[in-house]
Amino acid sequence: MRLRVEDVEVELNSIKILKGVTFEINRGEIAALLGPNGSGKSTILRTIFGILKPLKGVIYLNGGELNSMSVEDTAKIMGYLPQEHSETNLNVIDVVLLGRTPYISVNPRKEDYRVAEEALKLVGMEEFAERKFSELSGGEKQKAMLARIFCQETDFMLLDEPTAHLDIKSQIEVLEIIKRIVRKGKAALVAMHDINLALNFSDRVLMVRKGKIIHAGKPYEVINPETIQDVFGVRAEILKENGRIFVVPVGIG
Amino acid sequence: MVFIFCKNHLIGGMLSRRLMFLMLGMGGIISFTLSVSIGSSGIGLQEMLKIMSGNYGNNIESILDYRLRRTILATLVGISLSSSGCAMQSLFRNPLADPYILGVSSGASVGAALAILSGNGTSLGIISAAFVSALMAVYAVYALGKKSTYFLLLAGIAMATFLSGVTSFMIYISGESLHQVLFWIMGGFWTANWTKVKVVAITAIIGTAVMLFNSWKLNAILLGDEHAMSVGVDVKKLRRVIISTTALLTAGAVSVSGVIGFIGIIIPHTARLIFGEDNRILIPASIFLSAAFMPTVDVAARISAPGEIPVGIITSLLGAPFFIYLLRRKRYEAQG
Repeated sequence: MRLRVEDVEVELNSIKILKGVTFEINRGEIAALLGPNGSGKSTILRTIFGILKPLKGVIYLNGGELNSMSVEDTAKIMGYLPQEHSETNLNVIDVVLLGRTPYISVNPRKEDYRVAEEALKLVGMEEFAERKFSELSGGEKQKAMLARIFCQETDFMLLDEPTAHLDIKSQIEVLEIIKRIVRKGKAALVAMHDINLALNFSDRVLMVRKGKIIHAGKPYEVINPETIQDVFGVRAEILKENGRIFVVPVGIG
Repeated sequence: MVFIFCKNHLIGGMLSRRLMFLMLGMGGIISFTLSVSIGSSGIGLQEMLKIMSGNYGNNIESILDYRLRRTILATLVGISLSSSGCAMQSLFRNPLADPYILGVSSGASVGAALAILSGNGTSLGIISAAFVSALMAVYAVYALGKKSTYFLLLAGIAMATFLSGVTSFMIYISGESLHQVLFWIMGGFWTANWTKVKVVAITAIIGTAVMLFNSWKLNAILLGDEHAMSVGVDVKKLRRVIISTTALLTAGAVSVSGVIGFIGIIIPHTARLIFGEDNRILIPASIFLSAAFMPTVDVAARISAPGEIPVGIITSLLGAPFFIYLLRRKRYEAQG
């Protein structure tokens, strides 16, 4: 399992949003996309999934070209979790079952229900199956959405800020679940805001500024006061404790 | 009654979904029987039983035949409008979407009026013209209002008002055809004939089958367009299919009964209160509910005044307060 993004350029309303984006992700890896708001993190994910068509460049998954595939076909090999969702009163199990849509012709079958129940169990929410999705807390909703993407049974996942708006416990729970799944031989590209969470949960960091990946590599090698200053325009200090490093922002500019 | 049940959470706890469907089915049968038995001629249930045993006169037979085709027509029109409303509300993620509010009905009535005035007043001529103009109206509204729910609503209301003006203008210049065109403004079933029943049966069967076939995809779109795409739904294609089917269903209904407003709001929302948001259940529930509701409203139209009141007036009197209730509820939800 290998995703390769090669020299991708994307234009929206005649403005170049992505410029020469190149990187690759291998099986068993979590890659974190780090960058300020509007840097192009979500655009990278949407382009890989095929919602946006690149002006230039090629995206390969396992050697096969993704650019020319329809969303129906892409959804069978790649899961994508957008950042925002509308509210719905559907039951949690029905929201999770939506992940089976690529395999459903008209209505879900017994097998689809079984996979959805397994996915709910995986995120520890089996007892929420018959609850209304709109009645869940932010963390529970995000876990249900993760179950939805696991239900899709794809080897590669694109996750757009899955920890946004969550309290710290829910953030860690959600990232632990992602890590557990990825370690089973899958891979994930995760757009994130929290540098410390990226340090702790990712295997590779891609730092994005103005539509370009300007630093990439292992988290502990790439994240330092200079790269943070470069990407975010923020002064930061690095603290070391028990062999781990922590980033503390101290000022702007 | 339904509202009282829902507020007390009795639906979920005490009545199973299957039982509710059974009750709706029985409601449909009662409504159908009432509609065939009640009318201004005073011929009632006893006469209907006689006709079934073969002991009847020609006059009674023709009255019951008229009531029968009228009842079937009302049921099919109700099914067409409510399943359109259901699908539009999911597609636009807007509880206020309905063929009447979004100008589809007005679009269909312009086409129907044009067909009559140009001398193509056959059932097929009217439905073809109504379909094309309904399709144009719904695409124009969608193009103008796709930015947000409120843009969509405002574009729909503006389009409905504009097209009503166009229809009124055609009535004004119509001369001898005035009476026939005026029929579309009022909305009713008093001109029911078997040709009209056949026409609307075809559009209702095709249209509701398409909606039922796409009910799972309509569930996917409830979470947002990108979520639907992320699970493999071609959102543009789905939108084209649902909008065209809505135009077909509405054109079929409007061409045989005129503009009957708010059915696409009243029925799906009542069904939603009972059965929830899952389109796999909601669309069939709306079909059952409209089969129970529409003939009853038509009976009310027949007996509430000497002669009769156009059904469109009754549905507007019921539907407008319901619409305001939904609008207020949505505003409160938005304010959190």
